[in-house]
Amino acid sequence: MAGKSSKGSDKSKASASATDSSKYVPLGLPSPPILKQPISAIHTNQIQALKEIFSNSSDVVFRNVMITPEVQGLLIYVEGIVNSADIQEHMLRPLIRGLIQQRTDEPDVPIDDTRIELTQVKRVQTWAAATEGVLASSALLVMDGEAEAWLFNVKGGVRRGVEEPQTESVIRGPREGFTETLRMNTALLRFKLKTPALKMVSMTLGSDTKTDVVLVYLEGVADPQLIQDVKKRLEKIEIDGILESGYIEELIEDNPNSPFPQMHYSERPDTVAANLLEGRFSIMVDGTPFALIAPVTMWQMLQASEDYYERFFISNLIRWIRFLFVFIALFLPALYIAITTFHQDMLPTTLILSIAGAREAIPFPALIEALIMELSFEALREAGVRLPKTVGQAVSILGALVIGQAAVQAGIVSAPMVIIVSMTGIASFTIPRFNFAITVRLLRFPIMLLAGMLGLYGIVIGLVLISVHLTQMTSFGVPYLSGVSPYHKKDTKDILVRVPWWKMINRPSTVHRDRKRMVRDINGSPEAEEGW
Amino acid sequence: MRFLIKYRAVISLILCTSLLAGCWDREEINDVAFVIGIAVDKEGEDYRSSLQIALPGQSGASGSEGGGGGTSGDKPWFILSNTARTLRGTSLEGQKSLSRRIYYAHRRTILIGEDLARDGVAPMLDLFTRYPLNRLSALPVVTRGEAHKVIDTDAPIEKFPSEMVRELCFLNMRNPRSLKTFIDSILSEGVDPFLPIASVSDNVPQDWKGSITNIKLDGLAIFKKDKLVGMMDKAPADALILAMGEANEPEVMVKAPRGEGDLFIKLNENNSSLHPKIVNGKVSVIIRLYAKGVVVDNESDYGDKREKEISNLNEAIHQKIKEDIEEGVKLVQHKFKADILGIGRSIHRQLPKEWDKIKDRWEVLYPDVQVSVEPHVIIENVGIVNKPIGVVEEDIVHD
Repeated sequence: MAGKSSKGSDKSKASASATDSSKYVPLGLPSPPILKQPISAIHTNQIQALKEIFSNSSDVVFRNVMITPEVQGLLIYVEGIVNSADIQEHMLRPLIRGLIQQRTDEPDVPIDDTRIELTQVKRVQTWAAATEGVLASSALLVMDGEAEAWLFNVKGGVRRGVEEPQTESVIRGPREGFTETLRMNTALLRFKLKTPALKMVSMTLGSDTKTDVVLVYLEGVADPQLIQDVKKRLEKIEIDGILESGYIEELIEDNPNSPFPQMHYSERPDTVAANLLEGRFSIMVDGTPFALIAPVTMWQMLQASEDYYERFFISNLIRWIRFLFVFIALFLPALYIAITTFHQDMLPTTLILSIAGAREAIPFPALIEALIMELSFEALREAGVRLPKTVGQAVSILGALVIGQAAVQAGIVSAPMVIIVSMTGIASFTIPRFNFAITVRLLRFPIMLLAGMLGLYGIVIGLVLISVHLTQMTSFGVPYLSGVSPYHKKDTKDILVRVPWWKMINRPSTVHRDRKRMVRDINGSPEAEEGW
Repeated sequence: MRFLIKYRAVISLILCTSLLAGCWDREEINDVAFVIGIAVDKEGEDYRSSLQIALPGQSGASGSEGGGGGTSGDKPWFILSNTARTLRGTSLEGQKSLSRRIYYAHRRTILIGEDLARDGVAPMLDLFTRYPLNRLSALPVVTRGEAHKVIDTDAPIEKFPSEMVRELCFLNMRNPRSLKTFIDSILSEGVDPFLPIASVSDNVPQDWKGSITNIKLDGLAIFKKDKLVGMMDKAPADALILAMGEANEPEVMVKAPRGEGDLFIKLNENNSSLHPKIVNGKVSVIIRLYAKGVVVDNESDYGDKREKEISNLNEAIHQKIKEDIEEGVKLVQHKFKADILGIGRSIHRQLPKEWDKIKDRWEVLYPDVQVSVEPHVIIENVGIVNKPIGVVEEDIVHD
């Protein structure tokens, strides 16, 4: 009963909100009423207003300056997020020197901002705008007799420099990674793509964090409809704060109920640049080194940037190993459970006998044994990530000794199971994208349960369910298995194999508009004409 | 979440089915008894089956010492022997005294007692093939005397005596007779089945200290349909296996063309083919054997370096192979009257029209078929010594 009536009211609410905007409550923390007033021209009022706005804010600096012998001014900035040298060199010194000059030579020169040697100057009339500027790393100057305040951009402060990315290390490839500073990140990207077609649409998200977010794409390569769609999705976001790109990812993805990631993230400028060149877009967020990239296919989740830097023989070998190990990561424990508890006839006699020998004294059924081991492995991994590096090592030694050695010797866990779990663990770390690897690890558990209940039949059911889900899934309108399902012959060049660069004449057909990426096949082989 | 609420009825139904299904057919590995081999005998009217069952706790795998039972020195298997009117009955009888379910999927050797084989193996074969858990790749082997004696030998080199029989079969022939090929040759026309023979032997003369029993393969058991008609000794059996092109790197002993002593030549690669011909109703067949040989041993004083000598050796090995095979073929033709080489089948395949005319009389015609052997052996290599190494140059006989 209750469910039905609430459903009805839901619908009416939805239709009402579209027309009636009075119910719309904007987000944001309560602010002092003074913010809504225009800036007063009387200096004492100005000081009072600012003291009220920035009460109990120890990091805000108030500095009295004398503009002319008659005019008092007040300089306000937030310590730590501004460049103190800029303030010292280009604001205070010219003001003071100008004052001396004015006293002596030309007393009638009007005051204006040309005396300040800084590029970005903004005049604001309201306290609200002035406050926003101060909090966004500007210095604010208010003067007696002026109903206008000046905001000078003195962005600065200490932030992390460009370092090697921690999560995506490579043997061969650029060593620079994004940082927490948005403009530094966009600069890193601009170093790579020196074309005016590289567009960076800026917007501010989060009512309290006012996080700068930049949508990056290559005009003429990315599908304009896709870009429109993303812009729309980004504009719809209303939230108090965006602290990491993960917030945005969850808010704008196609299938929020799917365990599979539909955007990938990278802290490598080269990875982002490569994806832009293939017609995808990227969303960069201030305050995090991780840029989002979409639309993606599942195949991309199994590709690392190094695939494209090493020669194609090596890349292909490594890619195939990855494919193999994704299957191992997903199915090996389940296969072990299914075969040892349902299909003992499927293994060679000597192998099944040594497994039987090892399992002879184990008190648990294979499924329980596997669950215990897999869960402890996941816990161990999690502990290793969270703990400080020095302690982390101790934990891993403890894990290896306790679970690997003692448990086997005590006859609680069988040695083959330890091998299976370690193999699975290693396999899941061969997946280059962490968010995909964690999905695979997550799906392993339901498949293990299915295998424990129904044997290989259960594994097949699991595989079918996953396949059905993957085939119907999309990432920003692009099918998740694109290239294989729906099949594009020309895209197979970069799915199961990575063809040599001199064969990659065109961009992938799934997301591009302008297909050609190479003028001609430099080796002059005839297939190139067909455009592989 | 809304998805879950919307389809809650469907989802709860699906979850319920998983409960219903339970753990269908689930059988933990420590609840099954792996039968590694079986020995089947006839005792009067009854069957006696002796199952060789693996004891994984004693197999020495790591982790098994936690089981408490694994005293070292014990065999990793035990024999469960029962009699019953039918073979299936013996298995059911055995299950009564075994706490784990008898599991036949790893039975890779089937030892058939001589008496049972003479009575016919057809009733037994159905049990070994009908249920899908059975392996059609299991190797049936006939034993001299009672089969359970062979399966109960010490045979310490392998974990299980039945495993030893299996390995021996693979050494003996390139493609040992499996249940599948055996049944196939029972059912096909123009070919008679055969199986290797296993028997108990001693590792050292019996009166020596520490003598234990071992297994050896000696000869072939010749069948007519499903009934054993005779057993052939090792020497002609090997010649026949060579004639079938199934020999696994056989070594042929050749008498030195001149001088004293023998040489051994190993035929690394060999294959054979049958070429039947029917002229005026008279059937003849040529066995062509192609092989590459290596001199592995020269116990004579005959030189083996010069070209002439090698070609003489070649001649000698041709002669020897021809004699051996012809003798073996004569034996199966006249003594057992069984066509284990599949001469009839070769006619069926190569001269199908002629076969239609003679197939009803094949039993009568077969002993009189003219069989000739054409060996083509090339000695490619004489090893790293190219003369009898212990003989002074002056004493070596050269050609």
